[in-house]
Amino acid sequence: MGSSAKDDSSTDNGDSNADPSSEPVLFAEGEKVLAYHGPCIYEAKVQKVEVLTDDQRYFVHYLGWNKNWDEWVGGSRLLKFTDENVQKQQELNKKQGSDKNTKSGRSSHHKSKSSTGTEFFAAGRGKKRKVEPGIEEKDTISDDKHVKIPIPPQLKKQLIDDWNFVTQLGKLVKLPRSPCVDDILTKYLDYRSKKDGHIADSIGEILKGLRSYFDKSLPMLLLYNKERQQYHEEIKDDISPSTVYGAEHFLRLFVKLPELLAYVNIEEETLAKLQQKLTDFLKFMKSNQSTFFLSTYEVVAGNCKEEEDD
Amino acid sequence: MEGRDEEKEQDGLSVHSQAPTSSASSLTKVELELRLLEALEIYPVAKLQGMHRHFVLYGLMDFLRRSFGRDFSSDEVLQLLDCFYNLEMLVLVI
Repeated sequence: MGSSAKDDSSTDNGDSNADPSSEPVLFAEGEKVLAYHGPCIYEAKVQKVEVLTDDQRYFVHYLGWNKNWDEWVGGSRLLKFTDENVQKQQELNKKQGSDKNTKSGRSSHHKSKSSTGTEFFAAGRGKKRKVEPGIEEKDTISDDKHVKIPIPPQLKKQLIDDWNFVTQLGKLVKLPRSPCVDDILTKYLDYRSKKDGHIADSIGEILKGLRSYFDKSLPMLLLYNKERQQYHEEIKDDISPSTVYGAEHFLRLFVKLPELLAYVNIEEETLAKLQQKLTDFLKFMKSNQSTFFLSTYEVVAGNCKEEEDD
Repeated sequence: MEGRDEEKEQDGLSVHSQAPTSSASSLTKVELELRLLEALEIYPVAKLQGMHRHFVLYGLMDFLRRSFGRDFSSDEVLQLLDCFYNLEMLVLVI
């Protein structure tokens, strides 16, 4: 697949390419369409349609690509499958120089995929690409080495709602959050020490690791474009994001975690153990979903202006 | 003079009596160090200075746990590493 996945910029890219003067185009279930993904357009099929208050969103499958890449997108990301649009697709993909079948397209995708966007709820998958034997074997191996962190369905829905609130409805999580990420980590440590009768040093190290990843990756990987201004307003000097942000943003980290952990090159056996512990942590998050997560986000005054600007 | 000789003899005896324990503990220490160096091939010490620090440490802890069949705390691992590296310098870079 082309370079960066569907982040805000790619969504905006889609918006900017859609004709703003026309009425929103509607798509039907089962319809073959063209879908923006990053800077390129791909053939896709609409699998589900969800009617929102003033919009619709579509669950699409990219034809020829692994279903792990299936995702919910807004109507602005889709185009009718017409000769005119197919030509547009070819021109755009040529212009991007990132034909999905070329090596450069893939490697650029591999590096930059981790931008913000709807891929947060794609369960931490690696790359999207066609299965073509003999090409980039090395990539396949590294992809296989990614630890799988299954996100419980309830939390996946949370991620979808989160995406919807921020990117579609222009709302933000009101900060600072309570409980913040640090509070959640402490609560989990308490819960484990009560359950196990002692605090295992390994759990402590994992939690410290999660905190460190969150603080470092939040501005680089975990924010939607519409949240950046808020980040700069809230995180000044030496303030740690884990004392300001809460479960909504923390959960996004778990989608990115497999990619981050790949850099550590953890042994298989250790990785399996780590996976169990992370799964248990997510179970804890799920059990406390109603207290950890906001059910609605707020329209922040500054964001209205930002939305208009977008 | 006599007293000195006695002292020497006592010292010698004491050394002898402690020898097995001492060599056993130094063997364990050598074994520990060897295992740690082996683990560092997988988890380079340089990674202890970045955002991956804690998961690298976790990897080292688990490697030693599997090698020796007992839990290792992060402090223990860091103390062992301290024999080979100036960890203060690493911490400064974090």
